[in-house]
Amino acid sequence: MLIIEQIINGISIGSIYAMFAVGFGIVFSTMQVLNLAQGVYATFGALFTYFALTLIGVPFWLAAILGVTGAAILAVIADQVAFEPLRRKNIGMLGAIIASIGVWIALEEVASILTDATPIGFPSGSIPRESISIGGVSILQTQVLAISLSAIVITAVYVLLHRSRVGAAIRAVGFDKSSAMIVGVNPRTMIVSAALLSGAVTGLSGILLVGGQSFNFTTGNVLLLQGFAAVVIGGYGSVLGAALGGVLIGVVQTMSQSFISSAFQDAITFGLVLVVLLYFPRGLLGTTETVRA
Amino acid sequence: MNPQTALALSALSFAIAGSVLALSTYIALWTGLLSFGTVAFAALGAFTTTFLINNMDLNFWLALLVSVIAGGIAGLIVGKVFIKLATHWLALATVALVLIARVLVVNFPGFTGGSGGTVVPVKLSIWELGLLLIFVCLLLSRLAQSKFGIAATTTREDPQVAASLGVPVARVRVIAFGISGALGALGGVMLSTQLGYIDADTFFIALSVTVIASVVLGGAYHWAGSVVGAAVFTGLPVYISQFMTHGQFIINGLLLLVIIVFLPGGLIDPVRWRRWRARRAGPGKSSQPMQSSSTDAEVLS
Repeated sequence: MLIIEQIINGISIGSIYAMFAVGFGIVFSTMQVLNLAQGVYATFGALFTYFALTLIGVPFWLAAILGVTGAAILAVIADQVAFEPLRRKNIGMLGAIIASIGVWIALEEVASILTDATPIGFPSGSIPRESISIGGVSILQTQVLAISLSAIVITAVYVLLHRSRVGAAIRAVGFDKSSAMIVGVNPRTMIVSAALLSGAVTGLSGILLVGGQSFNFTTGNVLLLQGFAAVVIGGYGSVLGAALGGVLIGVVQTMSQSFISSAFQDAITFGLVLVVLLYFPRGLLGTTETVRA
Repeated sequence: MNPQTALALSALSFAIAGSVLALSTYIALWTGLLSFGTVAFAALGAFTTTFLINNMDLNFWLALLVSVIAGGIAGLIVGKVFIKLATHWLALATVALVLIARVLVVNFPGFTGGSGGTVVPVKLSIWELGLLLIFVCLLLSRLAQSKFGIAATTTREDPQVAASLGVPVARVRVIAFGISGALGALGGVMLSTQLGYIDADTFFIALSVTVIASVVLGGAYHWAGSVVGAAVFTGLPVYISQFMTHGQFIINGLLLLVIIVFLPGGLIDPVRWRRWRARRAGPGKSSQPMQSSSTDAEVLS
């Protein structure tokens, strides 16, 4: 039964990576920004939830909604402050990466000051922690929550981006801003919507990652690294690719941790990333990228 | 020694070591590639030197030489493997390189001391550090005049045009990675002698962010920029730490944003200076050919 439990553990952590990777991918595919500050949004999602639980004392579901909202607003502010001026000046991709590093280290320091750089955790009893046993396999309730919420959120993002008019408008802006404007799409609104959506999804992944454990101001970096790996492996610009990449990373990590060596699990993950980057630069499910002259 | 002087000297030492690391990243950016890999090469250099001194009883300078050569070879290999990636994927691949380097450091305790880290048995004086930096700067100013320098600049401005002019773009970039690896190893050794103790977290994302910030602040158009940038991002924090314990990174982050938005060419930007001088000379008098095509942001686009 160990192997089944390990697979479920892997899928559960992987579904959180998947959610983060989807949030990361929304920004990349619509705004061409490789946002290294994305991990900090996840930290702040967890932090806002923590403060809502401890300072206001609201129930967990409400605190989580507040956390998600906070992370979404933070993402929009960061986008408008840091990336909007770059878009206006037409500074390309490497400039945006550097700007996102600026946002990352500044916000991480804010998080460190807010938490006094000490580990914190959601108060006990605020979040369900019992385990359920199904046919001899025990699953934590938080794992069920993570897997089901990820499935719902990722499906919703997919439908929104690829099957709705708003999603079509967002993708149109990402593809060609001026053509989008000609057909009556307001690019600024769409960019803000994409940032909002991405921040909300990322914030939720941060809350789920933290779950019942203690965390500190660098927690989001774990997600950034694994989410980045997921996006590379799954393919950019593809919601389903990023999601599958995340689950794959989670399972590979848990498996290599229990059956190969826990010390080398990160080396295995990032070795996999390098192999994919070198041999499938568009990811396993990525679409081909055409360069417009 | 007066504690203020001691602190200032310590700040200066860190700034010098940081400058060499920044120059290592600068070399890659010179050919238009953003590389986080410097830190991985720095780890290679620092741990190799320490290992050679502690276990092989090698003289420090000999150990340094071996490390720099090892860094150069590692740089060439990494460059050769990564060169086929487009520029932003290459940046990401170098991030993965830094992550893997940390795992390797933790898991080869015989070589690196593992997660416990290792004590660096040598401490370089500020004069020795200064001489090393001057040597590197001389090398770079020679390089800037050389055929390689011209090829690198052309490659950065427009790889396609460079290729059509007969510049071997891929080879120039691989060589840049090799030099970047050698300088990264040198900078890593210099930094390690100032820290006195190194472990897996010494050479990790935080350091690569600082190094990149230094290069961006200084500008990608002249090697002197990286030295200035390193003074701001690695020297100044050591000195300022006596006044403020928190918030240094908030300032660094915002500074980075302000630079990239308002001064994308960095502080040391010869094109901007030339334009400024031409403007002062008055319209019509300027005999300098204007590089109108190389606008501020192009290296970063």
